Amino acid sequence: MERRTQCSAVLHSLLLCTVLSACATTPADKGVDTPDPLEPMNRAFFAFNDTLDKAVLGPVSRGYAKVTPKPAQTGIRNFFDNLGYIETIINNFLQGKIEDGLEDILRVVINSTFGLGGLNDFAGDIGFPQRDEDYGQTLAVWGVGPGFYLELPIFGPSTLRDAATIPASTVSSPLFYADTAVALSGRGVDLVDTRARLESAIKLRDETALDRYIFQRDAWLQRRRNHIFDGNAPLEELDFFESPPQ
Amino acid sequence: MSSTLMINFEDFLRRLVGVSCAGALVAVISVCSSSMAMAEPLAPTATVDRLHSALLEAMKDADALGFEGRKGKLAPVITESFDLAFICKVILGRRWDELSRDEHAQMIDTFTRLTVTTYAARFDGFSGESFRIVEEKPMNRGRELVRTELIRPADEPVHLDYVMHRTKGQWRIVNVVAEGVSDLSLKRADYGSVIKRDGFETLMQKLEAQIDDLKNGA
Repeated sequence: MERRTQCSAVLHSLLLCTVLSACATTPADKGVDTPDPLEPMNRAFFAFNDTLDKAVLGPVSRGYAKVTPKPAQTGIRNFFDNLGYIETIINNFLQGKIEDGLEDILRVVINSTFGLGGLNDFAGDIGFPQRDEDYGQTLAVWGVGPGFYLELPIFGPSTLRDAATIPASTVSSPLFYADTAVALSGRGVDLVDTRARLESAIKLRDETALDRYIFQRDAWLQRRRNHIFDGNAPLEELDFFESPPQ
Repeated sequence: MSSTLMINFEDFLRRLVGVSCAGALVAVISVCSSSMAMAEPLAPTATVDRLHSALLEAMKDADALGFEGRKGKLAPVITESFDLAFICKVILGRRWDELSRDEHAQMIDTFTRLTVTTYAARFDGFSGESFRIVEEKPMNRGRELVRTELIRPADEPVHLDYVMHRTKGQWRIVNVVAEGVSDLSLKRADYGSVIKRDGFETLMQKLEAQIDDLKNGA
């Protein structure tokens, strides 16, 4: 019964975002200004996130990186990667990457047992590559456009398509089924660890960008597209020199 | 007798002309081929290789060279390897046409100094890194893509792709794509936003401020 509820929750949110994104899809854009109809709202949330980051998340994550020994940081990182890997497995199958999906199941089994509950990336050491798939990427592979850019409070950069998959992603995490206290502290540590991973990217943004919102928006959208194509985005996408000017 | 002489003379002339024609032809061919050899540009991968070698040298001698030394070493290679004037034109898009010649020159000069300063500031140490050329692929309109990797001993490799075009007999870089993120398109959006809101002068001031920050941080 419970499993049925989970499945319907996943299907429901997938359906919802298909409908939403289909409505909001804008034509492919090559190098011309990124369509951003929600820019004023997005900038407001960007400012909110930035303030939150400067006041709390940034200092906490830098403190965490300083105090926690490197092996422990790696262990925590591996643990959350392993925990979140169920979403990667599901989406491998949804995208028809059966072999990858089977290999990834093996990866989680190996790391959860020999890798001491995921603390060690033992599977990685013996040659199982770590993949990164999610519901947003699956929808993209199925042909759903990104809709437009969304800056979400706390979550950060997203698109209408990706934001619509957050419920599906949430119920795919084992933390969703854990005791509330465990789930909350798990999410807390995960958030701090994620922020620590982004430290160098945020530093680069702050050093390079003239308009940090625009820089983050475009860099994130391009990185996301590269993920969707598993690191092999089509060449034509890079060749926009002759497109109409901005 | 006279007719025989005439024939011999004609024959002589024909031979002479033939020889000189052939000679001229040989001369023309040799001139052409040598000038063709001289005009034949380095392969796109050779341009990228030269940039990577200069970066590695700057990284290995980072401390001995110091920031100014790295700048001095990288500046000629960067200005040779990148088509910076073309890059500036693409970054500013439609706004480029609205600017004066002096402003074009100012933009190119500032952007060149920013590019050199950025490389000198970022490549400031060596911990066993190396570059590897993965492949070369043709793109639209005669451009070439050179895919490379920055291999780091303690970390995952970074994928760096160079979009190249041929100009004035040389293959030059017009875009660097790091892990799928296009430097050119990012700058186009970023600079475009500043110029649209605050104008060209503010853009120049912000770029100068960035150069100063990089110098002070180095």
